[in-house]
Amino acid sequence: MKRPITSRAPSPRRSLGVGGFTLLELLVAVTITLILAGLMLRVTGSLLNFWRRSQADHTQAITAKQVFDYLEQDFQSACFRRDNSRWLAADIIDSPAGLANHGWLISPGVMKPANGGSLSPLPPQDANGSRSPASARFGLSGVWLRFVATNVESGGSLPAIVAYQLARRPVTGDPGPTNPAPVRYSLYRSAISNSETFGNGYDVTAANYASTSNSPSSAGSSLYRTARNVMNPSHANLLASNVVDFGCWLYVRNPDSTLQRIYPSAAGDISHQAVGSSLALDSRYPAVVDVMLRILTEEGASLLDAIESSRVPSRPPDYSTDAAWWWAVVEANSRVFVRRIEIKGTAL
Amino acid sequence: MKHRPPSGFALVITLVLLALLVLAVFALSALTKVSSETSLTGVYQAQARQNALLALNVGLGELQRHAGDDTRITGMAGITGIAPLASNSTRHWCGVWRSDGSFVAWLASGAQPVAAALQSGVPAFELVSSGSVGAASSNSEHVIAGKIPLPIAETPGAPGRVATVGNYAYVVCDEGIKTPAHSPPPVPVVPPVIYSASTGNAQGRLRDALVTYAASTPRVLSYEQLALLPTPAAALTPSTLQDNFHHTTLTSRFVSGGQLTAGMFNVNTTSAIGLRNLLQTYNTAPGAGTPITSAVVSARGTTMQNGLAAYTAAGKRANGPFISTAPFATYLATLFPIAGSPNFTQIMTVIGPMLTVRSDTFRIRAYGDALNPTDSAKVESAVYCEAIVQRTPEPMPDFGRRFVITYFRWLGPDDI
Repeated sequence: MKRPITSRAPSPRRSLGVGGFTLLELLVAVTITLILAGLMLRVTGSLLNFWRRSQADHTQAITAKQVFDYLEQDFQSACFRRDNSRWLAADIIDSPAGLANHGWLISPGVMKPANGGSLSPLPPQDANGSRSPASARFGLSGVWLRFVATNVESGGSLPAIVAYQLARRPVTGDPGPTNPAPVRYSLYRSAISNSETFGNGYDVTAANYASTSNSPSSAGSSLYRTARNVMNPSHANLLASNVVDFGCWLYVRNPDSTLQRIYPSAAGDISHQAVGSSLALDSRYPAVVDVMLRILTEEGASLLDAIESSRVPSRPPDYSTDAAWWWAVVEANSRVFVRRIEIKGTAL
Repeated sequence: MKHRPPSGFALVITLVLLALLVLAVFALSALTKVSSETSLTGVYQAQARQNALLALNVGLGELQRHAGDDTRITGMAGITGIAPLASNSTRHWCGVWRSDGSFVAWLASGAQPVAAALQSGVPAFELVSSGSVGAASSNSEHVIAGKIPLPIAETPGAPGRVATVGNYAYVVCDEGIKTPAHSPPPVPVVPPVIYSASTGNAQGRLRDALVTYAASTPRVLSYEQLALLPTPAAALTPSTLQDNFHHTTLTSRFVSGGQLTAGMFNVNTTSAIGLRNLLQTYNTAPGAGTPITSAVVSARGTTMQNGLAAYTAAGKRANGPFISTAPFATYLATLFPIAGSPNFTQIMTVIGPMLTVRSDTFRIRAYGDALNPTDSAKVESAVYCEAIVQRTPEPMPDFGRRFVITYFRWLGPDDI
């Protein structure tokens, strides 16, 4: 008699419900999990990178818009008279010594290249034979721009001297070598009070608007609309952080309505001081302005701070000079913005 | 029966990773939302500014079109018979007439073709209000303009639906009918002066400040900046300048003999204060005979304010402007008869060279706003600006002489 065929009896462990994976099952599961995790990590990483870049782009764009909106309002309402005062001045200060009393922190090590290392206000023509302020470099200081405008926030929109300039400073406190605060390049906008403007006159280059100290007034101080803020802006005058270059091109209108650039007039032109009564191109009051801003990402600003404060040990061998290194880092971590603004008023 | 326990390890890992992914996507979308809302706010602000500049340019264009020619006459709407009353908010509109006295246009958005009033259905909007002249009162009226909608033919998401995305308004004020606070030389007679019977009222305070700080006035760039006289202690309060807003300007210039001349006065006004200033200027001019007494200056100013519009003569229609200074002289004859002293001949001999019937300096106030395209009742951003414009000797083909902006400023709502 044949023995009935019966199924194999389950193992005691499985029948008890405590059976584990076989080695093969485990290996397959781990492999699949790793592949999935890798894929997800990659996707998540890409997303986070995209997010960070979007955030940086957004921050830069918002910063540029804020700065341009101020500049536009100020330039549109700029005013002058036909007299011998300098109603507008745009100067590039390209030596550290020249920035004394501007509230700059001048460090002995790596910093924005001076003495020609960042100076190309009129870049060479491109392949199409045209030039753009977007590819210009405005020296160590950027353009120190000041003019008379009526600014709406002054209460009555009365004439006031407005000054724009870059400064390299610790984010708080005085610009001294012992200040441990992070250092940033920032753009400042100082609008001098209406009464001080009226009292001191409209010559933006006058000694009345100079500073005799390198210490800016603090952000909490009420001294942020004084005449000295034209040269040495208060911390309260901060307009935008992480701006490493700022400049402008100035134009006059020809009788046929075409624009003629009057600043920079040549590659080495670092100054334009507009005299109200002047008809000479090198001192004429402009009708149109192109403004250029170069804004770093926060990541780039931190990296630049690390380089400038020697927390990054040494210059990579790819760069022959500190200036080349500095600009390579800046160009890799910044965006350039340009806006054209028309000055509405003219003088009789 | 084969029984295998569920294996949840891979599921848990997958769920965790999916959760991370969802979190990242959520955060990214939140950032995108914030940035798009920020951008939208910026777009509204930019749109409102553009609409305000559009209004300014429309106003400037209309001014150039109607008042560019040398033969045109300008004046305030009061000369058409609008009495000085707080509620008469078109009294200070600027009108343009042809050399024969026929009417051309009111330089305000939404104005009717003839009457100094807004077209039916056009909402009124104050462009000279408390911030400029204080509370509305007689001779210190607010000034309105029509708010003109800016429609678009297509609404995003709703093709074919017309929507209003913004509004604009502008008004042109004649500065030549006002007494200039500063008249740089050369002037035809003497710089016009401000009359006041007392030192305590707004005209008196302004007059005294201008006399005391005459050395500082050449540095003043705008009428509102007179509040800074003297430095450092201000003598003129904002209310003083508000009370003088319709009657005093910083500097008005006139195209005369191919060049710009200050120190003149457009007689097409019904401002008692401005007309008193004119009579007082006679008193200060070299060659003036018997002075006009203070009481007479005051009384005749009021008489002229109330009687100029209705006066008719050759060269002056009822409720129309003087088309030359000759009928103004005949009107003066009714107030200062030849038998009196001074008489109108003596007065005109002295101040005649400074009189004119058109202005070349104007103030344009403009407004622009941006509306929510889906809810046109919701104003997302509103902007004001102002320009002082000057007619220059430079010819402009087909449009007389060219107007240029000599002073531009953005204004806050409190400045209006």
